[in-house]
Amino acid sequence: MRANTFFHALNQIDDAYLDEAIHYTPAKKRISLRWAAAAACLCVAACIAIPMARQTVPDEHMHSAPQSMHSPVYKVVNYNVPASYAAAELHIATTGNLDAYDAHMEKFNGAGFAGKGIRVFSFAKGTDTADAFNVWYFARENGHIARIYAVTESNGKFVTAHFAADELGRAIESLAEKTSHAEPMYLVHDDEMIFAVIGETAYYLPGFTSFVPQSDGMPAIDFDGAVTRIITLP
Amino acid sequence: MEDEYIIALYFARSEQAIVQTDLKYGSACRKLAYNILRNHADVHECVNDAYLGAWNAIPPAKPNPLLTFVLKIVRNVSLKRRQSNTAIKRSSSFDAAMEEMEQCLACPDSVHAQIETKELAQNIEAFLSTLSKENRVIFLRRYWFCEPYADIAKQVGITEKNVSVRLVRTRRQLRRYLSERGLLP
Repeated sequence: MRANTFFHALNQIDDAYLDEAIHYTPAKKRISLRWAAAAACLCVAACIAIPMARQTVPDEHMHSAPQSMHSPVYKVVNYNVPASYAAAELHIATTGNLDAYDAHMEKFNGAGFAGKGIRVFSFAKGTDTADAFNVWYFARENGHIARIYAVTESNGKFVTAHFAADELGRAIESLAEKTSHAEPMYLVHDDEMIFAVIGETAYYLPGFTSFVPQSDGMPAIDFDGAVTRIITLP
Repeated sequence: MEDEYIIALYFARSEQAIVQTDLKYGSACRKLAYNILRNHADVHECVNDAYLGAWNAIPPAKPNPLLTFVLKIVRNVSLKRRQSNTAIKRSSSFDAAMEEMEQCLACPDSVHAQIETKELAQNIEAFLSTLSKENRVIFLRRYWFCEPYADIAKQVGITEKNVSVRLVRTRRQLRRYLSERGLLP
């Protein structure tokens, strides 16, 4: 047998093994009893000292931007990926004005599009908040997000795909009710930051390492090495 | 961007699919191709060929996960490019990985060279299932991703020497495993 045959055969192994190799993280090494005891003492000391410090020095700038992922604990939600997407035939407005876009969606695509949806702006290279066509439109039924329509531009044509909103819709609704510029929330899937939801707008962050605020009051976020907390919605 | 949405873009025949694939997985693809080829121009071409392969395969394919699907194409294209490109000096991680395997699998009997790749793949897969998770990751990082010892050591959290020793043992086990099944003398 030639090694070459082996290398070609290796390409046919199950994806699960490759996935395991890609996402492997080594098990944490055991910490000696002495170090564990020292760490425990430090934690106890910190638990006592930090509240005392907060009582004596009022924080007047709790929500002042820019903030970092490393210091404040941001509220993060995870969700299940929708089962499938389907191509959508939509009448899409050729306007960058979001009010006109909403009116068009309602007029030409039915009552399901009545009312403003939360828009998800992509911050991929070459797009910004003015790029209204790289937007996810949330169609509502009975006042709730029922379907999500992803609208992207490709070679001058608008391409749409849609899927049932399910948990993602509920998560975004829940976030939208609770968030503000002062207190954004983040949507996470597989440890990957998907959205920063701020009020009625969800900012989508593909391939990011940092998040540059596009409007006053939004926090700058350094995601590099960030540790995120995941809270599952009830 | 989620894989599902990227795949939806492939299904919608949007060229954004390739842009988004590159944004999300481009660095992993280029790293793998570079481990095999050690030539930036070839890497660039092979990764682009792989994207074209993905474009042609999706639809009807609906890969999950997308990363391994694309990496497999990158690896295939890169291996073919390497074979056809005889001018490349034998200096890549792939060459080193290949030499190790040559010594493990070398066999004077050419009959064994005719073994069906598929049968061999099934046996390799069965062999992998006998390894510990850590040794399996080390083995695949070395012989699938063609990574240098230093990178593997860093990822697995052990020393380079330890990686080397474990690979020697695993190759010995592989040789025994294949021999017992009549795939090697």
